[in-house]
Amino acid sequence: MHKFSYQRPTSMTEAFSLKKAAPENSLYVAGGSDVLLLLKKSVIAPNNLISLRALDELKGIRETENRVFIGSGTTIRELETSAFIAEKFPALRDAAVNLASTQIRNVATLGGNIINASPGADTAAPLLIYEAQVIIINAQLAERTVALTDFFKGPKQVHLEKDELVKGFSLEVPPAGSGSAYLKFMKRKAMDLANVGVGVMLTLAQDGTCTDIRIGLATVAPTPIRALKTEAFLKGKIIDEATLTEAGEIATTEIAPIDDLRGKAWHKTEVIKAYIKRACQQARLRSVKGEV
Amino acid sequence: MIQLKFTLNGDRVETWVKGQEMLLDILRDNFNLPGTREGCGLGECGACTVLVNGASVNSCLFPALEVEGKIVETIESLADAGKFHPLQQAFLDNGASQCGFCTPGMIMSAKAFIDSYPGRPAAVSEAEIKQALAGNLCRCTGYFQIIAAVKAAMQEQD
Amino acid sequence: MQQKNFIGKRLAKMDAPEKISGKASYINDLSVPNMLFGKIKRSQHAHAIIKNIDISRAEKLPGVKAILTRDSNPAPDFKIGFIQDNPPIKDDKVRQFRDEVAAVAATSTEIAAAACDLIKVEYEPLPGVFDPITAAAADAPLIHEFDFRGNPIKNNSLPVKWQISDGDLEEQKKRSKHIVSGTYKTGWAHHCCLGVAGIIAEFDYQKNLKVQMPTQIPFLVQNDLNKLLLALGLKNKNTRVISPTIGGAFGNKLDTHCYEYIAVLLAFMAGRAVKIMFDREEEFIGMAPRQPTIIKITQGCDENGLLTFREAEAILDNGAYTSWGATVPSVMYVPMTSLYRVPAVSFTASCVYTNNIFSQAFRGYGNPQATFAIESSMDELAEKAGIEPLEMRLLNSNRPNETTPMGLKVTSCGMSECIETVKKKLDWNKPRPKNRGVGIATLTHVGGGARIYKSDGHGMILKMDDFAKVSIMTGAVEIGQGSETSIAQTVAEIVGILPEDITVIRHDTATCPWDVGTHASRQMFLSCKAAIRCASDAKARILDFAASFMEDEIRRKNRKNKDFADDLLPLLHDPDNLAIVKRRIYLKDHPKRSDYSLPIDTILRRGHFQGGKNGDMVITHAFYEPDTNMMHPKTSKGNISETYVFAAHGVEVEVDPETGRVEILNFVAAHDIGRAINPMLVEGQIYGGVIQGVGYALMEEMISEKGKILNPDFLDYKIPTMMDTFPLEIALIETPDPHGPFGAKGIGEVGIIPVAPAIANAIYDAVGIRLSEIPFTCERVLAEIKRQGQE
Repeated sequence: MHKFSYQRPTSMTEAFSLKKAAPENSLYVAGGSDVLLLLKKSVIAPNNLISLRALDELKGIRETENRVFIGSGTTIRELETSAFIAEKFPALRDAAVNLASTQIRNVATLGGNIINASPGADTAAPLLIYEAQVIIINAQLAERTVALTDFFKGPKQVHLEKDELVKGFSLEVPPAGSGSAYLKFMKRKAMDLANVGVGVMLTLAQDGTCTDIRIGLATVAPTPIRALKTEAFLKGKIIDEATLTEAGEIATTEIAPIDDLRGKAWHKTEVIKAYIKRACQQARLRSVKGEV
Repeated sequence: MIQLKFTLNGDRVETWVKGQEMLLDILRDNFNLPGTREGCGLGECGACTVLVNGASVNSCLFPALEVEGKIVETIESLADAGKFHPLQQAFLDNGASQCGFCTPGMIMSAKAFIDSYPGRPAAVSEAEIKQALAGNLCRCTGYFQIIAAVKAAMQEQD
Repeated sequence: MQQKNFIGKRLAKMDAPEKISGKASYINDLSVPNMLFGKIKRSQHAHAIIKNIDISRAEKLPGVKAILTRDSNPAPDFKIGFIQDNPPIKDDKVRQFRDEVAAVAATSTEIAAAACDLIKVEYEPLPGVFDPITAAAADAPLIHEFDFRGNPIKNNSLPVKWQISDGDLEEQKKRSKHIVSGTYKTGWAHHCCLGVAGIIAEFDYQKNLKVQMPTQIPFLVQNDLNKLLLALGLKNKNTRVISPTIGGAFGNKLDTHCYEYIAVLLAFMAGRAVKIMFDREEEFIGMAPRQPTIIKITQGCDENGLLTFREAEAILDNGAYTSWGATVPSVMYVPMTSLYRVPAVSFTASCVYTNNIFSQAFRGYGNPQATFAIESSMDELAEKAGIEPLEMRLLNSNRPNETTPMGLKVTSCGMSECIETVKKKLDWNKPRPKNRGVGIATLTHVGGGARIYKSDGHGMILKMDDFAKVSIMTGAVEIGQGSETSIAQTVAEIVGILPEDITVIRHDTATCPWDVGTHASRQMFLSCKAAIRCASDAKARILDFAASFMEDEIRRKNRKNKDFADDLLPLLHDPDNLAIVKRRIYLKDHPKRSDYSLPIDTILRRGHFQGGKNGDMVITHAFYEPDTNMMHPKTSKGNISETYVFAAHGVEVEVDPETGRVEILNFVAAHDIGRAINPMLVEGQIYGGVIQGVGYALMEEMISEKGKILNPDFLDYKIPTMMDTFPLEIALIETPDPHGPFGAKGIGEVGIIPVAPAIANAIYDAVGIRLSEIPFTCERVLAEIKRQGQE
């Protein structure tokens, strides 16, 4: 394997100064399940990896007023097993449960999954529907916040400066009565990347009218996206089979899937139609029954 | 080379490692523990599964330096004074190992699952076992006898 | 059936303790002193002339000890492959992407890899051809210009014709009431052994070769590598083949491969041991997969649904070189002629060179591909004839004691029972909701050896020591299936000792007798047949000793026993009066007289330490050569196996009409196995085969783009995970076979064979689409649903 040094800073200051010492050849690494894989496949060749695992600032799930902070260093396994996440952000739990294997979930982090910026990142669609803000910290330890929708630049690219790190994500706590879900279409039932991923959060009035809806889609555009046209169409309508079928058709007009090894564009389009419907139904079920 | 100290199969050990060395490499090369096997090197097969502080990880994608001060368990730690761990015994009794290459990783994943299982072990469902062990590929057994073995070990434990 | 002590018992596998404790040594774990590490540089073109190979920079790299190219090859004319078309290190041309162009032995893998990168190869690309139909055309670019004799080659078709026929085809066509035709395609599927391939090759000071490598065919490897020794000018030298624990095989280790010869050549050049170890990507591209096929099939039946004829033609994409893939039609003969009772059959197959990867053996060896075509077509024929598909199969089911059109002599046959079992266990005729359906497919395969080589024999030596412990030296290879355990059960049963008294020595051509190889579901059958002979002879020897010395020993034993009655002593002198159970010899008709019983080791020591020249020990051997025939060179007919197995798989699926996903709800695998020597191991083979079959049917596919494999890793080549399992019930139908050891038949491969057509037929039942290409990916299923919706 390609040779590199491996550093384990114990403070944010140290992490930034190590990076500053060799900005071109150094790479931050959290759980490493993406970075080390790319390294072993010779896709990247950094001379130095700076581990973020020992940084307490990047850890934890905390409630703050109407929002919740999730540290970028939170492992997928922590999201999967957190009763709080299951209750408040069930779509995020859906994504965590179906991401790779237990072994990978034990090391992979939420921050890593997002910064890797794969169009099919499992946690992206759930974060999009929970209106996640990305909290970014720089070498001067100053923080800035950007909406997740604006954070993605393109496939494998995010808006992050060389002297910045993602500290965590701030999620809006879904309103009472809302329901949310994330459905992932895979070729086999585990250990697979999303062929298509659909996250939905919706709120229904007493009469069943959709008063609020957010839809996040993965793997059907250069970055994970919100399906804003589809959301606009569904808002104010009664969510029934016919409406959802139409919503699926509308969704196909705001996606741009490509043919790749894992699936053909036409098929992803077909799956989007079905999965918009099913994810909405699942979210509705959870909103009515308050299910997790 | 950097000095590394950790607890390996109950013993406090130290060794010298390079930045790019993975836990798998040093277990096999520095500690003569070949039971942790490399099936793909990319975290896709689980043959290299070991426990770090009780959690299962793919040692092929786990930088050796990250185990500093931690507790590492490999397949070689399971048998106690020549007596098999109940999971090993159940693999034996249920024919859960054929070519055997995936077996140590499979057993370590199962151990992590059993050790942290929140409910009564005997009440475990097949679905839970499958979800927990999905990261360990086996090409010989079709998994059925492995599922039966894990179930049997959990019933034994209860 | 007579009550047995060990036969039919669910004993744990003998090799399991080492495997579950992490102690088993695979090729990854082995090293020899002072060994070098080899790396192979492979072609980056599917078809090109090698203009020049520049090693000047590579050879300067410190640590590089040998560089093998066509320019330095010490065996330049040596070729491998079924028709000797594959030089282990490529010469004038590369013909596929994986081609071995150069190899380096160095003091570390890293240095060897770096040296490979420094070797500069200049190519002149040639037009490639990537499908067998185009390749067979007259104007297609030639893949090989000359055959192994140096004669010019005119086209890309292999000079090997596969053909078999029987009965009056035209007459049967005329009397057919219903006829259906279809074309079925299968692609490249990979074995995906969890343990990747590797080898350590070293020469001793007499220039004899020793190789340690996982293989299913140690004795054929010895033969193959001895040919290389001759090519190296090493006359009267020998190869010793030792196989470490094997991390999965499935046919992947049934041939010798270029990398193995390269390791030997590097060791020869460097004068040091060389280890070549693949990584997962190299395993995918460097180890050939299952043979892809295109099969056109036509079948007919009369007004009652009885089959009248079967006519089929297969075209095989051979890839650039020949391995066993080119010979899979020989196994397709079995189902093509003999699955169900068919009065007239005709089957032909041709192989065509292309610039794609070539193929080799893989569990079932052509039978899964052929059965996919036959059993899909059977469903179509049943529908056309208006007969329920399962009933159609019962009507045409094979029966015991019949000779098939190929000349296969069926002895035991439980096919009808298998079909009935599927019917019952799946509740076949119950109404099912929309998008759900059931499908069935059956199989027949060799189950008592397979004579495809001059000898289909198995050699075994048994020795017993002074403590009544037995060592068995066997030619059998343990690839995880449990051959050691079945041998031990057999020997313990017959001799009257316990399985734990037995050590099985194997995987070494220098210490073990010859066996053709672990393939064709033959190992348990043949090694247990040999074991029965060895053990019976051993038991006879022990009882001979007993007849000589037992009276003396019984007297000695009872010398302080005042109650001892010596009336039975005369009986001890006839071996026929004696029996052995659980390590003790006693009088058969007086089993409760413990004063007349002795542990066998007492007798064995007495036989050994007689003093003087009469000392003797129990050492027996057997070479079991089955009573079978090679296929006739002209007609391809012949009884190639002592017995045949049958099975029926039934599956219930649900198809998602919006995504094309196929969900398996229930699966029943009913197998006629003769008799289970160890049901746990039998089930293990079937479980594993079925899941491999499901992978083959639903997800596994090596994706090739102009000869280049795009998915050589587990990230993109998907095999089933534990989550992809489903309720699977195995029914073992016991039909004790007159030729089988204790009635047993071989079943190592067969679990995989009918899975794909059973699923295809269930999909048809569920949503009315007929899938003609494996695998049935979500895309293919949904495309077909949509296409049908538009019609």
